[in-house]
Amino acid sequence: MLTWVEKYRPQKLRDIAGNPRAIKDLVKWAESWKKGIPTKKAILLHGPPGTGKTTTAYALARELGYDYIELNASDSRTKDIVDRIIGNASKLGTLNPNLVKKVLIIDEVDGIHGKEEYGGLAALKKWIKTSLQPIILIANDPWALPKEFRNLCEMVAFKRIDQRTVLKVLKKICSREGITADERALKLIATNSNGDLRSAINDLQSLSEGKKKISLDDTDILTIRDSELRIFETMARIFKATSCDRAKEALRESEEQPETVLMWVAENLPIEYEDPSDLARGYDSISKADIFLGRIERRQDWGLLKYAVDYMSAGVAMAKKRRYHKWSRYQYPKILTIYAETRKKREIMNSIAEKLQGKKDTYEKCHGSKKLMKSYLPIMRIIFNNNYEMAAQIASEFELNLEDISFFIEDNETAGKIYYRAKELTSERIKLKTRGEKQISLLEFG
Amino acid sequence: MIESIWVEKYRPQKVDEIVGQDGVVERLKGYLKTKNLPNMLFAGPPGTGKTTAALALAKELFGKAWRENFLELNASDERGINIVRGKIKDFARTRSVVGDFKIIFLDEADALTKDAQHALRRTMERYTGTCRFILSANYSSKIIEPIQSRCALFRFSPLRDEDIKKRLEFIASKEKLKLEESGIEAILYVAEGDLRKAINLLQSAAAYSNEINDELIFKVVAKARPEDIRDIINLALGGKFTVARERLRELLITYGMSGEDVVEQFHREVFRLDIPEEEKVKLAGMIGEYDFRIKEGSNELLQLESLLAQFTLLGNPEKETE
Repeated sequence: MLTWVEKYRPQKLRDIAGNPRAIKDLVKWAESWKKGIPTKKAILLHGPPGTGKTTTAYALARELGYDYIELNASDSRTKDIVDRIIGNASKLGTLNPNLVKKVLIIDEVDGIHGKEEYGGLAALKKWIKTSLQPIILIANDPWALPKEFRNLCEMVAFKRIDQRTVLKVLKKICSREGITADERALKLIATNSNGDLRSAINDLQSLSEGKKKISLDDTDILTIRDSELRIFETMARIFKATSCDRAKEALRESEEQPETVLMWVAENLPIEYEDPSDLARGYDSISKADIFLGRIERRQDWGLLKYAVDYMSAGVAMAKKRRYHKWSRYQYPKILTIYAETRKKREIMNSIAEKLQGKKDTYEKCHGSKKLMKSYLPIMRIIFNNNYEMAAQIASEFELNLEDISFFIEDNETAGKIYYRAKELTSERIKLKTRGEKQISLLEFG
Repeated sequence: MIESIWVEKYRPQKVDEIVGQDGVVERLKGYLKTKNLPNMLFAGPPGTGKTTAALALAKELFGKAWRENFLELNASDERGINIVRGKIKDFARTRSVVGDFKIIFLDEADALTKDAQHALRRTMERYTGTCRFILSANYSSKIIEPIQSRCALFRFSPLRDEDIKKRLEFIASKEKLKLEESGIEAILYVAEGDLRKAINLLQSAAAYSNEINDELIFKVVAKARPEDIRDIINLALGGKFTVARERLRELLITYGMSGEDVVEQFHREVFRLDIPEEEKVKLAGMIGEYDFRIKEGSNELLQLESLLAQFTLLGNPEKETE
């Protein structure tokens, strides 16, 4: 099945939502090829994701009746490959304006990087200079490209798409799909998309999966707070960065504490990096950042913070051997809540261990260290889940409270029963004890 | 007296009742006759009677007043040697009413650092007039020489199967259990000479049923050791990182395990995994590295997750990118 993004991708320039000026500039440059070869033989469409850059490039080629040759991120773009593909294409060029031209479309130019693609960008530069064909380059982040490269290109900026336009597109898709949607829900999707039409359409599709109605309640999963939106952006900037400076800048401009950012990075790393080696390297950087945070904590040496920051930003960004061209929905770090929960559990374990030792009373109960007492807990778990009377005896002798008992049993009702049975046993024991003491005193004085 | 935990309920009260350790028992009985004790070092694996021996000595020497004359300290519980010394000082301040000395039992003394042990040695010397020290340790070699030379060394060895068997049968008759031969065999196999482990196992089995056979014992053993640990490793090795991470998090929440607990269990499981031998070594090395990182780092959960990511790569080495 086609995703809606594909299904409703405009085929004609006039159907493209938003960015009319950028499109006009592009058309003007393309038309100029009919009169001869312009000074700038390449045009660089740049802007945030989901603003229509790729759609525009292909629509243009179709509309002007150009053939196109594409080279995108899924292709490896080493010097050799760039030379072979572009070289062949541009040599076919002709000065006769009546012949069908070929247009070269190269997506994600800012993603040509790394050892594997070494020399790819230089080769591309060479071809732009000598090309007889129009070349359309696409990038999110033009500033990641060298200045002399940018100078060879006509620069066209694509801006975030305004909410009303996004809303209009969403409504159109709803009517085509036969979906009735609450207008407020659609508005919320539009707001959340932050000018990224692709993500808005993806959200709409995921919300309407298997149903024909969308209510405001359905959008609950989409509502994100403003501060979260900002940290989402930080995540994207770190994960997508292709230079250390870019990644470090993202962290510097974030309003969150480095410790918090680190948890966000860890939570979302597997969402972003798919290759096991990228994941392992990324996590290794996270681990090293955490080591520095630990050293800072213990030695109160804040001079070490810069290294932690390097690892969690630049280290994580450089861990990838390829770029991941996708839109990811980042998640709130569960680790934050888990940390609180496990800490609570550990406190209960400690308290049970202390009760087993009976340290708080004047007499001992079980002999041994807390560590040894903790080794009894799995056994107690078995007993509590299988033998109600034995469990109550333990609970009574060690004065376990309901919280302690619930550590062993998930079922609240059984835990409650054990607790009350333990109370009964305790009062019986006290009665027996006092009776015993009375008998002894009778013997002594009787 | 504790009745609900069998290890305590059936802990021998007299030196003569101690299970096994015949040589040790003979020597201790000699001290009881003279009513005098040297400083002692009890060395031996867990569950072989070290604590029981110390307690039994105190109970026989001091009778009803044993609690006032016996101080039990656990080196692994106390934060630092200074606390240990403080407690010893408080306890040793008053003389014993019923005997010539009091007993200080320092359990898991091998948990103390070398420096702490030297401090302890000085403390021992200061109170030789009023106190006797009994130190217990798994390995005597982890106790510094100056302390060893001041103590009479007692070696506790893993208990013989027939001794454990006799004790189990005694408890079974008291608790009205039908303990089958196969059940005993299974307990002996798992306990490996550790009587505490054997009794704990018997009690957890008894929580299920009065009739105890090998099948029940192995069921209990499996329950007490979370299978989850192995599953988590296998999931990571199988490339399902996100699922493995989710399971790890559940495990931490359910059992309140610490990072070090998990690493320890990972390490134990690695050698039981169905993977090539050389991979086990690699995994063990990684676990060691992360054991260290947890100690150096700030957030052990991040470290554990990173360890899982390394497992995932090891299980899924990629072909060279073309």
